[in-house]
Amino acid sequence: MANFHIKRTIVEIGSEINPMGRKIIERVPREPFGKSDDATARGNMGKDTLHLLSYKGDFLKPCPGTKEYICCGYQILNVATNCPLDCSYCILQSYFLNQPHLRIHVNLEENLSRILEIIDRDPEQIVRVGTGEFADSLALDPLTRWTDILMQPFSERKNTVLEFKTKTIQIEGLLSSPYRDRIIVSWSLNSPLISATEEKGAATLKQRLEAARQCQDEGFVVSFHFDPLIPHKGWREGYLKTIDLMDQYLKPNGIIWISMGSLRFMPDLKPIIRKRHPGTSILDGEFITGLDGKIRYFKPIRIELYHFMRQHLEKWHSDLGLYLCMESDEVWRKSMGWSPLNSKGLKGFLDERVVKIFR
Amino acid sequence: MDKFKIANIIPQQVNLNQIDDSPGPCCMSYGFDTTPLVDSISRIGLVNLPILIKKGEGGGEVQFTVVAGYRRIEALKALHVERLPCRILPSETSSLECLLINLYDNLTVREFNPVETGIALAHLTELLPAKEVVKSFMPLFNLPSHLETLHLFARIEKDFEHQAKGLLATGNLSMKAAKLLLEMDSAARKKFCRYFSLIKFSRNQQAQFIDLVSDLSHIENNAISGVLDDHELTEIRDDKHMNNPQKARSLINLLRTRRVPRLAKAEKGFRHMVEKLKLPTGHHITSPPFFEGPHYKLEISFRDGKDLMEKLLILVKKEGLINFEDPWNKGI
Repeated sequence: MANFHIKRTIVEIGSEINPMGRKIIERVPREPFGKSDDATARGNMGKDTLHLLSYKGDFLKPCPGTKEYICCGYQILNVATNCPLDCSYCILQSYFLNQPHLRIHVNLEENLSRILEIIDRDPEQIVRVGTGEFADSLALDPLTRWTDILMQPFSERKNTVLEFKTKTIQIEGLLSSPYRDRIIVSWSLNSPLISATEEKGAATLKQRLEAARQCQDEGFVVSFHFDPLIPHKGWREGYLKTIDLMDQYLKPNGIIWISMGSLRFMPDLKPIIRKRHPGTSILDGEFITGLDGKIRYFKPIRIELYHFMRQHLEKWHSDLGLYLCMESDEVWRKSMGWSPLNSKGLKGFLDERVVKIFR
Repeated sequence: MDKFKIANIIPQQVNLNQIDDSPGPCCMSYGFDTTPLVDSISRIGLVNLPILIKKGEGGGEVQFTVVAGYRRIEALKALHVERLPCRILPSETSSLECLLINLYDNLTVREFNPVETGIALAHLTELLPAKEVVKSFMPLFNLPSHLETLHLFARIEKDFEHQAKGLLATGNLSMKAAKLLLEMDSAARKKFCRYFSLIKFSRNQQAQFIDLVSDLSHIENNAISGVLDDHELTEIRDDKHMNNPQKARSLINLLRTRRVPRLAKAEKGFRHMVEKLKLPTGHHITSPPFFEGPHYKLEISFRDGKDLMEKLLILVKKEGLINFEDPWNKGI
């Protein structure tokens, strides 16, 4: 396991007899099973407690974009909530404030056929699926073996891709699998300073890129997410350094896409960040309230960030599938030089990347 | 306790000096004004008798503690009454029973301010499990049954200084602002309270003011008291020529210029552009909030179609209209 430890495991009734739940229990390195105590879990969000339960909702749901900004039309596969890493900017801190613990949905396997049925419904429609929205896709993979459960069925379908999004180097499950097709391994990247100071528990930038190189060498398609971009002292040099490192470690033509987004959050996250990460400087930027009610950087700052990144990433390679996450048509045009116009247009652009890269 | 037990207790005459001066462990009153009670008692006399309980041994002349009716006793003191009829509870009455007598005695006749709510909930939590307080008592105060809300009010009672409590009890400090002040140390809180006692901010302005100051404190690596003691701020605060709303607005504007300089510059640039257009009376251009949306709005007041046409013709001929652009766009 990485830089975190499971100190306690909570098993909801029924989850211990579920096959996935049983296997996880066998893999947990330490034994102490205990009762849930939400009061003590509030401070650290229960990041040291594994909580096995059956998820009652729909496993596959569209990413909750808002109509005011252009969304990529991603589908979230809700395999777990909360994350053992502790990034200061993480929106899960407010999303799951009242649902602490690393919650693993152990009824994933028994719901898999229903998930695939949705994907199979329209073979012409490309469905881009990811597990990294409400949890890190790979941080807990040594325990959960999501890779064992998900890679084969997704790999066998031509109208879908499954993206594992992570900040860790837990790639053993991926590498030991024989499946490569339709699987995207993805890393969140940032400047060296932000990675080192704001992404507690995550692998270093070099470790992430080394893991990405290994995956590329093993035949995986990879992607990257510069999200959240954060202007900070020396940000230009910092992000250039990261792009330099990408150049050192990666083959750019094997990258399906690189997304960019700037720090944004619902107002209720701010006091949580202040309390949980008192030394952070991520709240120092010039923020405004966006059209969706989220706090985000003043528009020219976002345009400057994206424009700078685009300019330098395109200098490295001209066909990286660069796109913006939750931005307006105007910001697209002014920073990227073009715009997909709307969410449908962006979905089309990314679906074309899938067709192009996976052929 | 028997439902009619208190009513059945025969009132006894008690000297005021026999009653403990302190509000007692059951009292939930804070920031009250005795004037209306003094007025009422002086006109029609004491209607509801205070409820007391005998103190333990060693009280000397003082023999009773107030269970309910502290305000009435204070009003009677103001009227220089020396003896009053009271109901004395049996000594074996439990602390919880005494507390509940006070609570329901008050709840039926008045609303609790947030500080009093904090006091009541803190007293209840001393005698009952928190879960029971959350479930059975918080709805009595029209509060959601959440443990976090209980903790919030308990912290107000425990951590707030007298000045902060006073402002909150009198409605001069919003709950939103109180919540933000709870996260600060006592020195910073006192500084903010000095501003809020001198200047009447609106509720939203209070929260905005706290937010801006604490952000600047982080950004400028300066203590909150350092930011609040900045002479530019204190000059506005102590200005004799500005009224309250002017002071509040000036302070917020000054802080915003420091906190969001590019946005503040764009707003200034926008105002300048509009001024330069010299629009006729009845024309008004507004920018999208924070310039986030792409569209500006033009509002024209007109009498009829002919008037509108005339105004539009004047407008399209306006020199400089073609140069009207996003004020933040320069330099990108």
